[in-house]
Amino acid sequence: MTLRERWARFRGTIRREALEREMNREMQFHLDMAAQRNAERGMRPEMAKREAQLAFGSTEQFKESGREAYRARTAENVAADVRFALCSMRRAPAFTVAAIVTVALGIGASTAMFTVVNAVLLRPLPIPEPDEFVYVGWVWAKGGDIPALSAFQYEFVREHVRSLEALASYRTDEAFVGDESAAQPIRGLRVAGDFLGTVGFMPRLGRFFDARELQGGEPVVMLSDDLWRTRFAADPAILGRQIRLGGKPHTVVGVLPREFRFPPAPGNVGYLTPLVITVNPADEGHNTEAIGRLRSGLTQEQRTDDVRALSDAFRLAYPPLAAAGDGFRLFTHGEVFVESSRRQALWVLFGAVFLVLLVGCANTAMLLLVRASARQHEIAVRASIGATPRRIVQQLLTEGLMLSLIAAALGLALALSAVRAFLAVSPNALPPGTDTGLDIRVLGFTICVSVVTGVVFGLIAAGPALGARLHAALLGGTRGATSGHTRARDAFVLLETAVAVVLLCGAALLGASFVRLVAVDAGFDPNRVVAVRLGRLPPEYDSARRDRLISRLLERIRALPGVEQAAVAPSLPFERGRNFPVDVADHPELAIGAVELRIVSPGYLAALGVPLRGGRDFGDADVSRTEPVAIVNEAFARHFWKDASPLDREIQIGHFRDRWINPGLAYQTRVIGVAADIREIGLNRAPKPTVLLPRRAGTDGTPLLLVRGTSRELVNTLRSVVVAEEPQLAPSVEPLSAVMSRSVAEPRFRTLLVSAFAGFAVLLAGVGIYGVIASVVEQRRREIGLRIALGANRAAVVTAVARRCLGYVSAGALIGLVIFWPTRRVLSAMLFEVSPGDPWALTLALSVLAFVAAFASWIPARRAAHIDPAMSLRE
Amino acid sequence: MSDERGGEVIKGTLDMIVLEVLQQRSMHGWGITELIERRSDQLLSVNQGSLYPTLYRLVARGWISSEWKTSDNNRQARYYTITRAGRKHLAAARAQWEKLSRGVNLILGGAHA
Repeated sequence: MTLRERWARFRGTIRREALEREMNREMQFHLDMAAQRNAERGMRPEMAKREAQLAFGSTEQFKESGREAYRARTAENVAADVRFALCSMRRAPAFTVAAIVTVALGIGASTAMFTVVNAVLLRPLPIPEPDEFVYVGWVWAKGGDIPALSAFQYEFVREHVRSLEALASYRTDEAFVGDESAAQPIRGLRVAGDFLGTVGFMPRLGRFFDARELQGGEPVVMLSDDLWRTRFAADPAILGRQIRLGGKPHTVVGVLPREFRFPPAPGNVGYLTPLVITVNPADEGHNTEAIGRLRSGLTQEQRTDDVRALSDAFRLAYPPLAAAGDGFRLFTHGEVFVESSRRQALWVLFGAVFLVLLVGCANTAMLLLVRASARQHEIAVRASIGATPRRIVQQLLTEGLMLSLIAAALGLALALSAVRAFLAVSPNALPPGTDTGLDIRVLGFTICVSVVTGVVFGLIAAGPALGARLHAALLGGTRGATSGHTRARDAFVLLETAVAVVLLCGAALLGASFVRLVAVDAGFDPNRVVAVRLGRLPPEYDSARRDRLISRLLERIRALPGVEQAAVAPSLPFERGRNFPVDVADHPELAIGAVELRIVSPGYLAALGVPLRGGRDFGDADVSRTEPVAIVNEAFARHFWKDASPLDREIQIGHFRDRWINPGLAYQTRVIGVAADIREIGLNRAPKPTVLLPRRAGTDGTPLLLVRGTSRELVNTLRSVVVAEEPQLAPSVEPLSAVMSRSVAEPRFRTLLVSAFAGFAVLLAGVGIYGVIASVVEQRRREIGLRIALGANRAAVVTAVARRCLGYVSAGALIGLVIFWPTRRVLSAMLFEVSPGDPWALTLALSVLAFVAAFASWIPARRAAHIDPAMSLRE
Repeated sequence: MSDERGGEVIKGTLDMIVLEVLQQRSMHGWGITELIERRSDQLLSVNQGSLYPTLYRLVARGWISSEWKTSDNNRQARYYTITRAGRKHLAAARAQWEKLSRGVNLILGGAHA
């Protein structure tokens, strides 16, 4: 294909066909007319036709010249317009830089936000056939579900499911790889079932674990491509070699492909080792992650039917383990990781960022207006030497597009680094496995935004340039152009002010909500508590040895100076704990399906600083004695006994409406104490009914230590105490306040982001107000001078200017509030203890605007007041 | 650009002639050919087909515009109309032409004036 043919194809077949059709029709008309005249002169019809054709010549040749003219016009004009646009940008560098920077910021911010929206909500998972990847979980008829199974349920699904072609389980893991003791531990996964098939990958080298290895045969490992390259120099002979992993030799059986990704687990996966799932009927907790790959070719109905059949079969086989209506459920990745509140928050932020873009564009449009009126002369000259209005508009559009495309390129670079910086600051802000790279959608979004803004800019610039004709038609009178221009600029200032008000209201409400959130009394003091996570215990530890280690550690820690109390906890506040059904014999109808259960050592309440409202704490005797005892929180007591004392009442843990759900973990216990409610699920969540049980010897799971103390060095001291006791441990030690701060990271981030947007918008609105008022003052210099000369008070001059500013602010604020009003409901989902119509927050927002506007008009007002009448009148 | 009935149209003057014709009223291609022949007393004749490249070029320059209308004999024809830019160009070209032809006539001694 020659270049010319390519070009012909490029310029679009539709317009080309229209051109051809018109030329054919036109020339046919000519030939017919000529033939008709010949016939009138007495020629026979066919002779008349032939003569006409002869006189005309080759139609094809003339059509080609028509095409040529069309082609030349388009191509030459575009090239000339681009050259001209670059030239006129160079001539006005200050304007160009200001416009490009403003639009680049707007496009950058909205692209960054869109990247996040795209990554979290729109983009498919980075694994093969992502739609077939599901999570298997459980749903209770009485409400609630969880994307995980008990080991027992997992085994049942593995044996009976038909709609899944692969099922697997995993647990995140961490271990030292190789012998370098100083190196960081590597993150990996312990996996069960057909893990690699479920995620959808094939090994790059070697193979996945075989059935015997998955059942806990000799220790084997698969390495990630990255680890294989960085630690083992991409050694192709790695298969069959023994490497040390977590201090034990493992045989390498395979290497993962480079593109391997595992969406559910955060961070890089360095290795896989087998996970043996022990079906312990006593463990009824939904603590086995289950992932599956749907059999392809099944309809949605067939899948639903299969899952229902599976649930029915389970209920039939194990009636105590499932009530009517309880059953299995398949979850998508989005359902597991992106809660609907977060989804909504993302769209709200996206809307906010779009408003910022709007303000940026309005500001640039005002600049363009100013420039357009300055260029009226230039354009008039071009029109007078023969440029058609269409050509002029086309050229101004080219300029607008060039501007916005340059800004888009900058904005894109800005967005990429902003997202990277954001992820570096808060790596946990996005769901695991989120890929925030550039893709075709983000690119398309940026291009769309910039083309639309470019066209709008071009039209704005062309508005006054289209000349008096249009303006005369619209407004009448010769001063049409100027007054139309002023009107447009007023509209832009109002738009900016209104948008700034919307964003300020949002920011003020989120800010008020955040202040209230962190001011919530959690019921305990996180500043004086340090949490110690021991990490994974070396494999040689059995439960007896682990218990010995823990009691030795508690003893040593309690002996440290400055330590008031230390205790064992199963999980930290603000992190996921375990749930159990609980009821009481005298009120079976009040049974709760999921009570928070904490298995703790004596001193837990004291270590957290939670006061006892009645009864007593656990003592050492409760740990060893056989009579089971429990402490409940106030929410629990209120739920079952209203105002009566819960002390010495019997509660049934693992019992739900006449049935023991799990015979392995059934307790009939007596309440010996009542603890104050604490907000440990989340600062914004009301305390849930909670039961504490004393931790006895042999309780499984690696516990945490909570240490209450005053020493500043506590964090370091605790780490060295743990390592001194067991050098193989890599404990993570942090104050509980850090954990709490993480729990509010998302609302904090939202608040900061919207505040930044609002700040940017109000700044631009201020600049806009300044620009308008300054130019008004400039235009009316003579008049003001005259007034002053005639004795007008300078204060009166300032008042006149201020009144104009007040006009903008009040009209803008009104429009802003009208726009803001319908968004309240969406916003209220993100607010904590603040109503979306909170008068204080809205007043604050409007005050900020008023302050900025006052400052913006103060400068020109002062200038107006200092106009020297003698000077201004002589000008 | 000639035929047996009339003289040659000097290169570049066809633009001017077409613009002049269109200055009177909008016309389709066939009508323009006829008008040129009639108004020049058959002295000038346009090679009929070659009018079209000229028309397309004038449209491309923005001197004339075109639209489809119904002709006198009730057929759809493409009518060309002179634009403002076209009128300006015509005025300039006419002045240029008058200067040129006066000069040429002076040199040739006004023999054929």
